[in-house]
Amino acid sequence: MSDTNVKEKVVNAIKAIKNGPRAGRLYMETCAKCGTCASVCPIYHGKSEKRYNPAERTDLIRRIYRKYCTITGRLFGKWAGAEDFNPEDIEEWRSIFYECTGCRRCATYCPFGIDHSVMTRKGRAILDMLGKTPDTMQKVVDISLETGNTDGANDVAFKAAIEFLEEEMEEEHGIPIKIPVDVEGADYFYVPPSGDVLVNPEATMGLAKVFHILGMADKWTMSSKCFDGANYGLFTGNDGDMKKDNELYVQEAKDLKCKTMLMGECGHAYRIMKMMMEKTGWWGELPFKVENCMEWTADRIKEGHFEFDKSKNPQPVTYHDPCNFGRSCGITEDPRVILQAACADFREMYPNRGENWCCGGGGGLSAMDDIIEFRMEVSGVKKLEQVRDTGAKYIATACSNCKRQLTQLMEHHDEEIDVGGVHDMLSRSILINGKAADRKEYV
Amino acid sequence: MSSDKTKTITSGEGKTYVLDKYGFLANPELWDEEFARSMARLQGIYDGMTQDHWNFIYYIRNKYQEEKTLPLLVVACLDNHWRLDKLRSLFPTGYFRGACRIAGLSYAFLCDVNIWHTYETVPNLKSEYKITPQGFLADYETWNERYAHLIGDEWGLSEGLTDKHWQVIHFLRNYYQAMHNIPNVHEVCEAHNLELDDLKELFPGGYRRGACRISGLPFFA
Amino acid sequence: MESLRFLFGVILPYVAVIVFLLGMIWRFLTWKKLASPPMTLFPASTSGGSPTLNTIKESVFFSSLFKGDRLLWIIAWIFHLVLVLIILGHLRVFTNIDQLLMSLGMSEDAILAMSTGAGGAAGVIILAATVLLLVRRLAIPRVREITGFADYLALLLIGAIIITGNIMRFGPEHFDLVLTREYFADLATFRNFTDIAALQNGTFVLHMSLAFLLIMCMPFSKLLHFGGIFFTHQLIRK
Repeated sequence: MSDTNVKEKVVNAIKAIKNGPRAGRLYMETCAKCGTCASVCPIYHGKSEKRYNPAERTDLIRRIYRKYCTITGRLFGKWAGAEDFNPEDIEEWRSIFYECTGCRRCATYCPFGIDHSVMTRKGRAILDMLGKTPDTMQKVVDISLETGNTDGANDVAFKAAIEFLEEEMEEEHGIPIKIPVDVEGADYFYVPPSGDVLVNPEATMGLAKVFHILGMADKWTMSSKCFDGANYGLFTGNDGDMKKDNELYVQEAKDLKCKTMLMGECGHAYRIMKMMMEKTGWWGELPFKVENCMEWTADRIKEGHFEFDKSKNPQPVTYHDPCNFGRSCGITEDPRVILQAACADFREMYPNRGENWCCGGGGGLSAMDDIIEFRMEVSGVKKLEQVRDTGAKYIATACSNCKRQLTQLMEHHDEEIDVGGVHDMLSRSILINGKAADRKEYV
Repeated sequence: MSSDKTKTITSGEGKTYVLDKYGFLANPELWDEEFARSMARLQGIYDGMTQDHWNFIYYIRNKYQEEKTLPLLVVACLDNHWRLDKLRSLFPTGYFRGACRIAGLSYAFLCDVNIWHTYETVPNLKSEYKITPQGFLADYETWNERYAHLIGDEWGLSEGLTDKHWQVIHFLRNYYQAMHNIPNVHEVCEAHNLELDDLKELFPGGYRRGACRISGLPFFA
Repeated sequence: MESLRFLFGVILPYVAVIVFLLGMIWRFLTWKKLASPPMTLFPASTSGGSPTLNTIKESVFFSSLFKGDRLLWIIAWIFHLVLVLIILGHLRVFTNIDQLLMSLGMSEDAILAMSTGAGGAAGVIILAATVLLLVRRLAIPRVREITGFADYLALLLIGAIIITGNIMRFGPEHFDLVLTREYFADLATFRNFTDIAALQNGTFVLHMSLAFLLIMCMPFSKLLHFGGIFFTHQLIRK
């Protein structure tokens, strides 16, 4: 692609901000440059450099917008903060737009509620259009679109894994506990991140136990085609990819004739389904509703269906609110209900809920090891401080990206703190026939 | 992880292997059992590799060599008829960070096969010993020879701990037990007929951070 | 001299008001018609029920900023509050609001005292706030590094308006309320565009021109945040 070609494409994409959506245009025209966003940004907290300043990142786009779309910019150029696009900057953009975790903390404190993640995503969309999405990201998207999951796993492997988990639970509790697969007409269609089945499977086992105890083992199902809610189109800024990936899952839910799509412990997957797909009606009227498995389990706990042996989770446990669950979906109390029921020593992290600090791996950054130095020494610094203050030995969180980032963060900074899911803790301590899971020591 | 300089690991037989920046064998083709044994110690397998360990490692090696792939954790357990707990107790740092590391797969290969491998959460190596912020054993009584070996491994002593080491270590421990004090460095040298430089060579950390630390003495007497 | 006075005293006010009104209306209309898919930010419920209520809360109390940066909040809130009071105070220059106040039972002396007391204090406070905003902008790296020429210019313009205003209140030069009222009445009714007595006061001309310049710039500069705030908060509280 020639430079003029690149420039034309970028400028046109930025000009298009004029035509909406409303947020983009308002953000181009409203900032007062007060610097509040920087003071609440996990990245800027980690390292106070100009390139990490959220307002500055948005200004990369804003300057070009001013140049082409505002009267003052056209008249006064640089004096009005307008600047033309320079194709040489693209490489710089590639790193800068992947130095924002899209956690939306800035929007919480900005006097105008400006959500810089919107502009980060716009910047990434421009890169994606130029074919400049970082390779690690692009690969995940490609595999996902090809196979329906970010693993590239097939249905045979998946079914084998499910069988294994059933055996595992049978050994733990001495009775068969089912994980139904491809059952048409089941009420609940469970969509976890695939890692929660194939790599850290305790979350899925936890949910299976919940259904078992309620006597609803035949009322839910997983799909051997669609078992990964992760959708990296959100992270690359490519709406087309995001919708294509999403459509598969909605279609499968329709095919399975489920009444509820039960999303797993995956923040961005739930946000896309609930706040984007369902709320704005991407695919018209839906024959099912979208719910989160933590909501569902927490409600059952509150109804008093379960008993727990908290001594199975004796270590101090804290909960990290994934930004996509806390700030973007308002799921804050349910995981706490589950953890308080399942753990002996639950501790809050401060600040928390909608004001929680990002783990430093949001916006897909967690999957990018080429910037691990940045994630460990800049974006994750605040989280590390927060976690240390709790004195917890286990961080429960409901998001695979957060889990990966936090695991690496603890490893990198020599903290002996484990990381895991919310239903993991439930799985370890919930009583079935008066008995908690029997976890053998093989030493 | 933070430094850019090449990481290496040296086996008991003095063979050196180059690691990638995540502490995985840089070139999986250079793997041998010697590497596995050295790496296993770093992954919390202190008492040597058992047959179970080797079977699992060769299972991973085969998958790598013949199919250029790596099964996901759950699938690997399934294939070996292992329970997750068994995997966790045999490989304390987990499947991906533990077993795959010992099997000599490179980090790049792991990411390339499937990014989800790297999402595994278990693997914090719990040390068996309580260590003070200065890096000294918190409780003198919890010292044992294995602890000394671990510190020795940390220093990468080419011949491991020799009789000379043990003499000094036992002297220090006996002295401390009796006097509740740390002897003067010259007393130690005199008692063992050593020059200061010899002592430095035996215990690379120096007297306090080397000899006293490996003997489990506290930082302050 | 006379033509300059005509330019700043007659043309500029008309142009500024027209540009401001059309500009703001155009902004509001374009914003309004753009699609706005929900992008809710939580906790939504604790921030005061409906989006509209929340927007009012945000624009009156700057509640997000209160949580985010307490120091800036104090300065900014006082600045904007006093600004609103000063704008209200200026009504006395444009209209004969004295009559209204007197009919409500205030004596002429009381009105004068209020004008000198409250107005004088406001002039000093807002000057201090403006200086603090400028100092903050210069002193704190995270603010300084994102500050452009236009940001300084806006602050300096406001500063200049405040200073000329204060000179008229505290300075020796005579400021004639009656003449000024007459002048604005003439402007409002489109008559007597020459030989305006009020424009003999140089400081007044300067103060007024800068003020109208500021008003004219509003739809096209960072000062547009005055309009944006009513829209941006709606987006994230749907």
